Amino acid sequence: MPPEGRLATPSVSAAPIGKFVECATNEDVQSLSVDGILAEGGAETEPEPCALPAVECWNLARRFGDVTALDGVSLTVYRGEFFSLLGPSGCGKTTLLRLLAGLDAPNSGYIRLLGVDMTGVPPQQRPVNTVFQSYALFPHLTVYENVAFGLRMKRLPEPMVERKVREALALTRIHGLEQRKPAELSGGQQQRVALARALVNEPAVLLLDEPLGALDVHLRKQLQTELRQMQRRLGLTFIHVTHDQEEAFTLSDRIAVMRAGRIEQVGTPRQLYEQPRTRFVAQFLGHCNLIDGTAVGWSADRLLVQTALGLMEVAWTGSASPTLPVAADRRPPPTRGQQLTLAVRPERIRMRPDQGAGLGVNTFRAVVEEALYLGASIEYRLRSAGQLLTVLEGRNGHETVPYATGEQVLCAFSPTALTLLDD
Amino acid sequence: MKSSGLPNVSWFRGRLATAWAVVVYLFLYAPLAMILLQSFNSARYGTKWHGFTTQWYRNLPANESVWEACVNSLWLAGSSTLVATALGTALAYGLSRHWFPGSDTVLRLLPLTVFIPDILLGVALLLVVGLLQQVHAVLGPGMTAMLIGHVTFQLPLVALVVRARMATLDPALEEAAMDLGATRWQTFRHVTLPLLQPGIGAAALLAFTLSLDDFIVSFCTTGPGATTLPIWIYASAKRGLSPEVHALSSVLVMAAVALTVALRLVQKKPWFST
Repeated sequence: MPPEGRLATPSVSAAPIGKFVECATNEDVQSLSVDGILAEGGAETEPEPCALPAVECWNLARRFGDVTALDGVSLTVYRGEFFSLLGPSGCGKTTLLRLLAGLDAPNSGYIRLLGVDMTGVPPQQRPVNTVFQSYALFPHLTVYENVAFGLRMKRLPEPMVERKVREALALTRIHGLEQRKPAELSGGQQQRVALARALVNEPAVLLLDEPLGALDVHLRKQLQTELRQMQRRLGLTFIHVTHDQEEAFTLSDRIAVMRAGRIEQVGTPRQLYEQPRTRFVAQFLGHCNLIDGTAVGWSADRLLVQTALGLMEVAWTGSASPTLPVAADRRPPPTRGQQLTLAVRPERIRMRPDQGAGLGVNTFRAVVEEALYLGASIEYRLRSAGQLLTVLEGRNGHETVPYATGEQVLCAFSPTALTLLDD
Repeated sequence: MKSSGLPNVSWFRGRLATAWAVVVYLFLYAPLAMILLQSFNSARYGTKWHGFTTQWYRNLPANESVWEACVNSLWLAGSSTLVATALGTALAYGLSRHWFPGSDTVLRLLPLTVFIPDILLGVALLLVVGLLQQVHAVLGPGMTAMLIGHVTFQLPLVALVVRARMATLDPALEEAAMDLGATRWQTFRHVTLPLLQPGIGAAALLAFTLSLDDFIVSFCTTGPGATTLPIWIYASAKRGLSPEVHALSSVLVMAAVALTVALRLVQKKPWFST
């Protein structure tokens, strides 16, 4: 536990007071951004994340009896980021969110919010608010009273409460429903009220626990767009839990893929998709072909791997030699003869008719076992050297006749299409 | 009447069901109707009809011992309900939201006093009251002892009813309140309590009626000047049933009807209509 974190703790309880005094002078919701809350001057609504961390987790562990829900999670989320925790159910993403909200305490490790240690700080005093999966709207209160709840608990003067509630309702596009009870609202309306109820408190970090999970596809798409725009406009930090890969990709600046209480990989959607680090990430995010092989050599930017499909050349950003120091974001190269796994996305494999030409690097012959017409593309199941591969061919302009089942084809991909997996 | 294929069978069945219902309701309410009838009988002694009178009702207010018993009963029922509802709600909340060593045992023992025959509870209380009397005279047989006695059998019932209501509450609601900055007390006051209110109201009414018609526990713990209505009626009945007792009983039956209606109103759940 860092000593400076302990010393800084009292400022947590002081922060909300200052926050509201300052916000009282602001006229519109848009200026009530994180920047305003933090009194850092120059209330900009830039969506660009600042380099300052909003949330820092260090080695968090949470056990429920024999079950380990979180197993040593370390994570940094920067201010202004839309960050998603993505993983299958039971991977610990909701547990992590509850630890951040203070609704649960870790067995070990610590959390810092805006640089302040949150150990022992109750949920009431944390600069975060949560949109719950079930929305958890108070059934005995009206929409207006629900949204006003947080402000009233802090005993803000009623005129200010009313102004802020009106602003939050306008922001989330709730009109004319103020006097309704939650039971009289549709799912989408309830979701908006839950969002307004959290945002009205101007949290430094907004936690969203599968907020769109219960909605139908059309409404979900619409709210995704609104959520993203709202986050950009307010410049807030959002931490969003989901098991929906597409949703995480659409919304997030960065994503942490979680499995079995651990973070598998953190990165932008593009990094995660194009350079998956583990077997799990590769296969959880869309389809991925995995090819086993043996390392036979490397240079500064290329790695040579012998596989059942032939010799493969992999684009390599690791250091050139195991004896050289390895940069933090780079990996040490494999040793000669080491078993490793390569990943390649189905759409990165190119096919052409086999005309009996010789095989180059990253080229192999395969037989079409199955062709599935998907409209925008055709999915082929190929077999080569006993291995099944999936290839997705888009219909980009050239009018080709689809390959027939049993036809022999030549497959090729560039070295950059291949990724070396850690496990 | 129906004019379809076999009207006679269904018509006969319908009649049979109606007749059966009448028999059952007669079985349930005929004795009460008898009391109501007798309370208007001008005969001083016996049950033979001598003519209609409201004299016994008019006599009631003048009967000081009835008034005293009435006041005692209401005071006892009111105060014991207040205490039992407060304690029972706290117990239910504590048992539902906080685990502590032995909480499971407390939970399992809760329905015990509901199943124990009242007479055992009464005798046990009699023993305790006898002992407590030696500590201080206030704790001896009388109103204080009766209050404690009534709370003893009301509390578990209140706790069970409120806990059942508590089990239907989504714990996320309380978490949401705390997440929005409400302290534990504010959360209880503004979220938990309002949502528990229908359960608490039903439990309080149940406790109130239980106290009002309790005879056994009251009888075992009563002392000088602490006569409740059931005890007064019992004492009067021993001297021979008087028409005043019938009149009083009829008033009590009407009060019970009023309470039942009130209970129905409280148990309506306006917040969870869907």
